[in-house]
Amino acid sequence: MSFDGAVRCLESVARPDRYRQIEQLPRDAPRTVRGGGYSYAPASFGARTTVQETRDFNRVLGFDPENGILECEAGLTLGRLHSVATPHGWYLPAQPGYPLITIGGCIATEAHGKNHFRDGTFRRRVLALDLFHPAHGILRLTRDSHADLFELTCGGLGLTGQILSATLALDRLEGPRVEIRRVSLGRLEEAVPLLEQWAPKSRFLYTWHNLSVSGASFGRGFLYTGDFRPESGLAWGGGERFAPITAEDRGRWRVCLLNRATTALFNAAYELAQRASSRVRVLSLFEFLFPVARKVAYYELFGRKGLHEYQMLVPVESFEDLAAALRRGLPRFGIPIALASCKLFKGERSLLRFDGTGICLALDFPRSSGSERLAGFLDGVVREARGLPNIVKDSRLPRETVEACYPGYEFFRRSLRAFDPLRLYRSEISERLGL
Amino acid sequence: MTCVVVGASSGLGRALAEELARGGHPLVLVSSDARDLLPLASDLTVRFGAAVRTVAADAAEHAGLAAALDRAVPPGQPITALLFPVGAVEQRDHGWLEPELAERLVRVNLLSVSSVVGRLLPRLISQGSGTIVGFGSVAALRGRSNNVLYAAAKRSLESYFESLRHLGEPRGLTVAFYVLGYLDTQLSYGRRLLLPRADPKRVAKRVCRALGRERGRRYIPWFWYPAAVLLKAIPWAVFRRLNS
Repeated sequence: MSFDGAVRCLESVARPDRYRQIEQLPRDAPRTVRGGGYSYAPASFGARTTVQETRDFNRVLGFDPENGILECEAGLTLGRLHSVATPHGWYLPAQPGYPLITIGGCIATEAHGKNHFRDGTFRRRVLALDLFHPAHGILRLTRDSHADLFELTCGGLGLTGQILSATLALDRLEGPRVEIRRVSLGRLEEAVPLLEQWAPKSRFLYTWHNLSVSGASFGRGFLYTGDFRPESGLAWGGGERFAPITAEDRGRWRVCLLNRATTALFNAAYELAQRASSRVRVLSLFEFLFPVARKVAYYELFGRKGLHEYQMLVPVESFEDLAAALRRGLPRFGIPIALASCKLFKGERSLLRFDGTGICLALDFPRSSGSERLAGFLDGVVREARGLPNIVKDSRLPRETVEACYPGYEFFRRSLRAFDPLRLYRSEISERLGL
Repeated sequence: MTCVVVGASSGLGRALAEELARGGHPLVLVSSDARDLLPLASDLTVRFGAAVRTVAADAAEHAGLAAALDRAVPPGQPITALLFPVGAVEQRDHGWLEPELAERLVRVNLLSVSSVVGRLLPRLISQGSGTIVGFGSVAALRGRSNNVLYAAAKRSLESYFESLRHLGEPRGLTVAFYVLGYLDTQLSYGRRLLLPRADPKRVAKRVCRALGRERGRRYIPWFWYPAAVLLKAIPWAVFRRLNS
């Protein structure tokens, strides 16, 4: 099942734990590589192939604690990498918020964190990777060797082959804790000036918006700015205990508890609780980097049918129009927006990567009879704003929207077919998008 | 101080290696494929600071394996424990396996263990201490039309360990034999089973906690003990009607 609950499939799944087992599939057999299985959209199944899990290929192959260079197998989880690197004063700056997501998954989806404006996407951390493809064997990809394939594989949705291992450049930790400061904002449009104002003095930066309120204060909320808090005498780490969740666990409640009334109530309660609490909070790095570890109940509220997470990246200059379009358009659908959050991006667009410069806005809403129409409306809004929808967040994103929004679509498709004419590595995403 | 794990690169063997490394033991790890062994050794070195040596050798070539291991543990270096989470199954092991495959099953499941023990036993005896740990399977509790030779080899192994205990205990050795139920490994993945699977990591913790103290035959998970008593008590007239 995809993490958003939209796609369920019964497929043949293999769980190799030795390298020779990876090579045992017939050379021309279509296959799908599966890491943690936490992609919202079905990037790791859904093409009626043999799914090969990578969870047992999770070993650290080398670590240079002087220079922060770590080599690992692709199934290594972010949480385990964190536990290896932080005691030596290193961390991985560009990472998504759940500790059981794998390094291979981060590379294939070109993951980002709450600091894109400073640290970019995951690719920036990758110095080299080993890729297996039955027709090509094991290839070592770097920016100098097989550079085109390196580019195609980072953010390549796992379609170029199986990433076996990666060499990553980590960043120095400047303190064992993260201090987060809260700043109020009166409406959605204020996100842009505030994000830009705080960017030069922040390490991490994001906003939260209440889209349940209408009128002038639509999208009011908070900006959170975080930085390391240099402290001595404190142990690195802390807060690493958490309850694992899978896509199946997420959907264990039959009913969705989020409707317009409860969502408005939850949002109002969150707002009140924030205003009542201190403006400054201090979290361990683990708690800050992996907020989802402690908040899995939020995803369970969406029930078995699941959720949409619509994540879009729009140019700064389009954001005001986008906010106006949402203010006007959202009430028409009567679908509650459970979460709205913005981040600042400073990067370059290329291929099918969710990267570029602008404002990244994520909207969570429950999957229901009308939610597809709302998602379709958002497709239009993004296209109007000359933005990008995030492919790995959306299980229904149509091919035509991707073709229209991603100028690199055709180049990616052609390059992929040139490298792999039989198109062995597939997923629901590749089938839906015609890759 | 050194612990030797034969069959270390996957499933229970890998979990045992990890648990022993966590406990600060220098390790000698044996597996057939260096591609699996070297990443494991690196991982244990980085994560636990363990001193790890590796021996890539096919367990079916048991004489060569024993000699390679003998070389890997230099004389004078005390051996704390020999652990044998080694094994092989054959999908077509239904009673008429080709002789080469049948021989391979016996070599990997029985002779690899006896060859290594035979080679290192004099050293253990001269140390006057040391632990030898073998692993059996509930598949060998009763002979069935499935895993025919595998079960036979594992039952032989159990007998071998009983003899080893008889031989070793008066000379200061500790000999333990664990009969394992279903483990959550690549072998059992996706199969419908009668009783729950045990997490290899938990089994490894359990075995390492009792290393050097526990002796004789034990069942892991514990509920396989009453299950084994029941299974063995079922009269043949009833047992032969049971599926596979």
